[in-house]
Amino acid sequence: VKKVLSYAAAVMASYVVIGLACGMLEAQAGMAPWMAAVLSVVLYSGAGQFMMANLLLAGSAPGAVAATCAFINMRQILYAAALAPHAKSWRLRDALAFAATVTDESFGVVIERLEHDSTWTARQSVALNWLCMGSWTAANFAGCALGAVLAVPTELASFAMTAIFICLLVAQLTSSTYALVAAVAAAGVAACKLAGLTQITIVAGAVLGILAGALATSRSTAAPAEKGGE
Amino acid sequence: MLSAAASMWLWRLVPFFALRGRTMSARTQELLGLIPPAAFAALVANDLVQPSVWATDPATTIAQLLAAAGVALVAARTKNLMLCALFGVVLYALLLAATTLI
Repeated sequence: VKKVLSYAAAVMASYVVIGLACGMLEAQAGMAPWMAAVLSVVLYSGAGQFMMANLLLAGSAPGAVAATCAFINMRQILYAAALAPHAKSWRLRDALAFAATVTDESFGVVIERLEHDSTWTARQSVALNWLCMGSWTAANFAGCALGAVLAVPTELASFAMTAIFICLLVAQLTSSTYALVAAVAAAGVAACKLAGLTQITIVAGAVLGILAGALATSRSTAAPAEKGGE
Repeated sequence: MLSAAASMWLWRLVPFFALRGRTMSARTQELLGLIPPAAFAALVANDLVQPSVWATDPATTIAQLLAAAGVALVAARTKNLMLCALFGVVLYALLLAATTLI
């Protein structure tokens, strides 16, 4: 538990601050604290919950809220595909408890552990996800209940999350191919934002980066084969 | 709420369990390995690239980019999530305060 906590602490701390802000917004959208807590467990998506509260405040139809939420969370498909090979020998119960609770941040921490720490277990992966989910849920509940008396500096809190993403990205930049993938993904996001395609930026950028990496690695594996055939 | 949660579970569970039991080729594993750097670069860029803020408040954008560069240096040296988050928030707060003084 101590080992898991040491890896989960940064994510849990940032979830508390962001979760308080999210709970306050959910209260403004008309949710009771218990509803914010249930939403935090069944949806468990920071971006999704912020967007849901904002759309409800704007008076959007429930169908539009659900569709938008589904769309912005499509990157989970990429995370699930990347994590699946590591879970081949996991018990079904652990696999289910883990796969249902992956977030951007927990994905980064767990994939790094699974790739570089042979002693890291399925149970530790599940525990990390659930500790993070617990802090997120508690913070949403508290934010929703105490929204009127709390003042959370949202801009600084959200930069804590950006800093965590930067740290996770830097840890991934272990080759020139990965650097190329990251550069193309970032450029793809910038291009989407400048084009006004704000709801697909993350998925589109990531897919562009992966395609660039696939092209680069196929060329680098094809080149020696061609050379050998001459 | 339920339909949003249902789609989330669909994205999280279907690819995971569809690929979990399969033996993958080296090429497939190589391609799956590209997902983490692509995803995190996209998330970082999504946070930092904000054309509307650039246009209306360039000082905040500069503060954000400088703080991000500082976090990247700390990350390269330490790879410590908590340290990066703390350092990033403190540096960003100081830079924002500096922009109000200028």
